[in-house]
Amino acid sequence: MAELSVEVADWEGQVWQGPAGFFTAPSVEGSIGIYPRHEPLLAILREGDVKIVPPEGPDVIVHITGGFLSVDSDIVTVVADEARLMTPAN
Amino acid sequence: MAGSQRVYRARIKSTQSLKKIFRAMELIAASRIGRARDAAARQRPYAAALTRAVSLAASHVGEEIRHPLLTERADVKRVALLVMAADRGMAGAYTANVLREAEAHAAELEQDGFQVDRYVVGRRALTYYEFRGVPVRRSWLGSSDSPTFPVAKEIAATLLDAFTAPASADDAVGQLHVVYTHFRNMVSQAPRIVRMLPLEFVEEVDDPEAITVVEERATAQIVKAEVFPLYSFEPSPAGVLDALLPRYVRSRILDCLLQAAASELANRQRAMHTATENAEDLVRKYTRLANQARQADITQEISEIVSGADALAAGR
Repeated sequence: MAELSVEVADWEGQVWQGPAGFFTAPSVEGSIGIYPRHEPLLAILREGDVKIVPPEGPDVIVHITGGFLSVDSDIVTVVADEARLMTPAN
Repeated sequence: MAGSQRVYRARIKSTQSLKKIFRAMELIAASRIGRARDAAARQRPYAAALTRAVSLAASHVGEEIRHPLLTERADVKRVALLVMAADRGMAGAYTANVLREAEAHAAELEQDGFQVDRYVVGRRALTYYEFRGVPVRRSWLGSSDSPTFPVAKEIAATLLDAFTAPASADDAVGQLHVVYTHFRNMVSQAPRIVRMLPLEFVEEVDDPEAITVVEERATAQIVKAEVFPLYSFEPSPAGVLDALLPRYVRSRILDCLLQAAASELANRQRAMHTATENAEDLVRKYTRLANQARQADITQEISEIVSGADALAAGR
């Protein structure tokens, strides 16, 4: 199965990077969910939590203060103004 | 005569302790410069992604891009000049170079009938203007050698506000020019003036090389790419562009700040290195003088003894 390659970065550099089966982000118009083979997309994000569901292991939550998201041939890039990796809740 | 010996010894001592301070500052600057360059390098992927997204959105908006940040303002004859200098001295001619460039540019603008609003980063630049009674509209102090995103955000917000303010507002500006020191490499940094606002679009084929080349030019330009895949936008191409352009300006300002910081530290390291060497020279010179003075003292003492003995022998 195809999977997403997700990268979350802010001005200080990469915050998280890895494969994912599913991905959600807080867009300005609500929430946006992305599965593999999504069409190319450029979306503006508001403050909120980005959730990455990796193929295995717990979900990864990254808190962002806004930014944008681009999807192109299963490569997801989140460019946040400021991003903070939240420790996955157990 | 023993007095001059003491004076030289004291000078040697104080010069030696100064030398230690210079040396320490040189080392501090050297270690921070690596951090500043790392910060600039870490910011690059962010900036690249942003640039790509902006040009992508721009190419989807259609032929006519109308955006306040892209339009030259005819209603305001005022220019914001953002000057990036150092908070502390001890960096050789770093601040002086930036200020010279900034003032030459300001004079040019004034000759062209513009009014110049100065915005300042760095305490040294602020004191320069305050001493000369030149009004500074706003200043940001205390972070010239380690700029952070929040600072860049605040600067960008202030200047974007001024640029988008109605013409009646007293801080409204029609252009934004930035004077900073471009960090080419460790040995070469030069002041540079960039027109940041209004942003300019240039039509060029999608070629990452072209983007970087254009970024080097004197005005902030965005390459409008022609051959991107069909994207969907949320909320809309124009809405995305709306949200991205202020971020783009912010990222450019942060980049300028980081380069200025790296340049400042490189200058400081160089200045402190020279100061250390000068201190060494002085110590050598004073040691020689002290030795001479000691020798002179000894010679005088001997001649006093000999002449005393002679006088005694003659009197017998």
